Amino acid sequence: MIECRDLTKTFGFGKEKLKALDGVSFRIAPGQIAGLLGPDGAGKTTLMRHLCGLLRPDSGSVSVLGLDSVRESAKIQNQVGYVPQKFGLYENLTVAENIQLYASLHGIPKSDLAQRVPRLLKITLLERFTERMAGKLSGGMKQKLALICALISRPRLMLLDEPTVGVDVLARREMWLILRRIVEEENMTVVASTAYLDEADYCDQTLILFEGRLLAQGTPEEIRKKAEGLTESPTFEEAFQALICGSVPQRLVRKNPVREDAPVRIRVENLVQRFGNFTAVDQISFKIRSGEIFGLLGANGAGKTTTFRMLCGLNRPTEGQIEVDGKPLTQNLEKMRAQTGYVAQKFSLYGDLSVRQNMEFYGGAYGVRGKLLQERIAWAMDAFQLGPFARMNAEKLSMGFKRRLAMACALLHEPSIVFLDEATSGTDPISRHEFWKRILELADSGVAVIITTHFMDEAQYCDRILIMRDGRSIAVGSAEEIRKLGGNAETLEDAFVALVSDDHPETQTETHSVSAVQEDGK
Amino acid sequence: MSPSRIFALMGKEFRQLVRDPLSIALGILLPVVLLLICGYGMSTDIRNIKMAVVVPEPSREASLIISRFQSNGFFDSVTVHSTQEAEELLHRHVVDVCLFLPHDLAKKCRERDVELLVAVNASNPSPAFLKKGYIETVLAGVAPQLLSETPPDPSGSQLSGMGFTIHSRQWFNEENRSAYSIVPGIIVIILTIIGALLTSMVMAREYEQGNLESMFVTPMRSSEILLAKMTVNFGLGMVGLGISLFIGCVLFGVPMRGNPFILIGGSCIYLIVSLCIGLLISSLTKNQFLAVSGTIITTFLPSYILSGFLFEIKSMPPFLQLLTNFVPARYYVDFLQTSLLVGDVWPNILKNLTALTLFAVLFFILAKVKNPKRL
Repeated sequence: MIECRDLTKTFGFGKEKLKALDGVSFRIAPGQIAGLLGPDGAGKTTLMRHLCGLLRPDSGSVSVLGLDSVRESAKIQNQVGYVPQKFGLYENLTVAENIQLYASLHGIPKSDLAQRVPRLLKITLLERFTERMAGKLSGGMKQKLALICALISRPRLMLLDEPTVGVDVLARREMWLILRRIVEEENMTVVASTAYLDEADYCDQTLILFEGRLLAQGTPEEIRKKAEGLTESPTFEEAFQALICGSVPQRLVRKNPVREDAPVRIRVENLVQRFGNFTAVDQISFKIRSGEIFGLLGANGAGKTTTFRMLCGLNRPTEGQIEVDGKPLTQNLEKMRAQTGYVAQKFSLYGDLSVRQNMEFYGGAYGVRGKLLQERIAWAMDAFQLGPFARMNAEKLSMGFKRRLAMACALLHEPSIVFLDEATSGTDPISRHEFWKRILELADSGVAVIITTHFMDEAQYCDRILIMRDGRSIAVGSAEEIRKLGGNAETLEDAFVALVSDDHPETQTETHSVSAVQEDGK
Repeated sequence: MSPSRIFALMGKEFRQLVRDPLSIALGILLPVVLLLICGYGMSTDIRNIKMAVVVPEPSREASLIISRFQSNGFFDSVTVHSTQEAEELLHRHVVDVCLFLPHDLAKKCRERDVELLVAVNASNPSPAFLKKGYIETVLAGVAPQLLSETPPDPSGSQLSGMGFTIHSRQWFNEENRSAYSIVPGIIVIILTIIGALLTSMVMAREYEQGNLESMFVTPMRSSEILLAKMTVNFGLGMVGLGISLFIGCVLFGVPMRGNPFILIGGSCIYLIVSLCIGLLISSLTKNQFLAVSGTIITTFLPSYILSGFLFEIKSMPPFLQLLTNFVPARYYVDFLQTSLLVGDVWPNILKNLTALTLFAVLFFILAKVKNPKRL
């Protein structure tokens, strides 16, 4: 189906050269789901674009459906379905119009569409939304619409670039189940990339990509075996770590779990944030104690970031109270900010300053100076292994190291409250492990940590978790309690899915359909 | 090329255009607003024009002229007796206009050889032009009485035919530009905005939002999307042109002296040039912000500054004059001004349209080459 031979692609010139793909060779057999796994910047998108003939390799060759990707790119493009990371939907066209456009581009006859479109809409549960503008759909729905647009021509091969990025666990699960159903019913081959390593189990084959090199290829089971002997019943992520550096770091444990009588740092009561008619956060209440790791979970748009912004004093709540150390936040804002560290979802450091200069700047901005600043920088360089890159400009760092630098900058002033907004998304497993090691250390030393994340395995580390949906809190408790709340689910992910669906009559039907899809598919 | 695909793409472009408030604003609102603002400036009644009448010696004829200006209601006139005095007043901005009557006015009227000089402070050209016009109108009214022996000319205002010559000087700005030149200028601006700016923006948006990435992986050819984009924005440009011409000609009385079909044909060529530049820039930058900045610098500003719309090309430094040869808008401004205000001057039309056609071909080829079906 697909064959890559020694594929190499370099971007940029001279000193700025970046090897996006370095001698990648593999084959993918028809009739299966192949997962392209790797952190951000591993080369997944570059590889995808080569597969559909949008990029020309520097050396090596790509053959797709027996066609050469350079000489016969037009033929490949006629026969494959491709969903790029940015969907490629026209936001001010309706769902039906988007589908119609792609159908016309592929020259699909009307009679064919009459059966195919309703079927695809049914599988993806978009039937009720055909007249809605694509721009007004949720992230998960946009992904599914993009999928329909690519499927409309009955391609033999589907290429999907990160179809599950930035959507909640429920939508991710649904997407993989839809893909499975398509592979089986339509006799298709699917290649999908993802940065979520826990999605490996949805694939028949996995390709592990890291820094432009293909580290391994095999079934998820075969990949897990790579870490055998290094640790007990290895996870996929541990296998990835083993592939990168040949060893598996020790699993992380809390040394001093938070105590019930630890002082309450942040108390939030009946917090409400409205934007016009829209209620982004609706009656949220929680307490965060000293030394506690508190996780805010939920889909994009559930209200996590808005809650975060209110806690940091960036947004003023419409209603409700936020108290820090027993005093209202509004009266305490300066003091609160001085002891808060914040790592934003987007890379917010200065790309054209060196690692050291960024640290000096952020340290100075928080009022750390002179000898103390030098000491803290030395600590950060050591703790986050940034020493070798001290003089490198921040934009040149890999994704994982950018995240480490962002974290280092946020910790220079030894904050006692730390906010992490999806601070690990897109990083490689080694950096992520490094990251969490620091977070656990911080919590052990009494720092209150508030995080948002899409990774369910990260949620495991939290002392307490609050799950949000549509601005409301639908469950609070430890990972253990959440599992019980979710009907004694086996994993946190299952519990999350169960909770989020129970709460919401609309999603309930969706989830039922998901299980229907599952039953149909299997 | 498949007609059904182009048709589908055009349908998509049209829907997007209609739903995008910005496009509608640029295509329809902008011409109306620009023309109304400038048109208002063009048709303002200027009252209380401060005028000095230089009367070297009193005479019946001089009094007649002065009384006409005083009774007219538009002028505030003072009578002075020497040229120096009048110049002094003009320099001190006490008056804006000076009317110089000759010596021996009575005798010259009898001999039908009257020469008058009108000097206008033309530092603001449009009102200066109007004031001069007003003075000429008043003089045309008074002329038959001055030359009383002559039966009034039925056609009215041909002053020179009556042996009446008015010389005018526009002080401080020798190269006065007619207010009418604003309408052709605005048409150029509108076609540049719709053609280059809007097109480069919507195309760059497709790169930015990943639309093209997924469209490329269909049987669609890149020339098909170029064509569809051009067609729809071409339509919008034509709507803008139509509105501008309508407002210019009907509301503000800009004369359309040339053949309207030639005018529209030439405009089509210029619009195609703009469209191709827009497509070229967007495929080079692939980013909305860069595309807009690039388009403003390379097309929009030159079409204002280097096209001869705001500043006379002949009065530019030689280097800039040379540079204007590479500004397509320059040829179009010249073409439009001639076509609207002068008439069909074939050497001029041929020269300008040839240049525009060459630009269109050049930029279409570049846009096609720079828009391959690759990222």
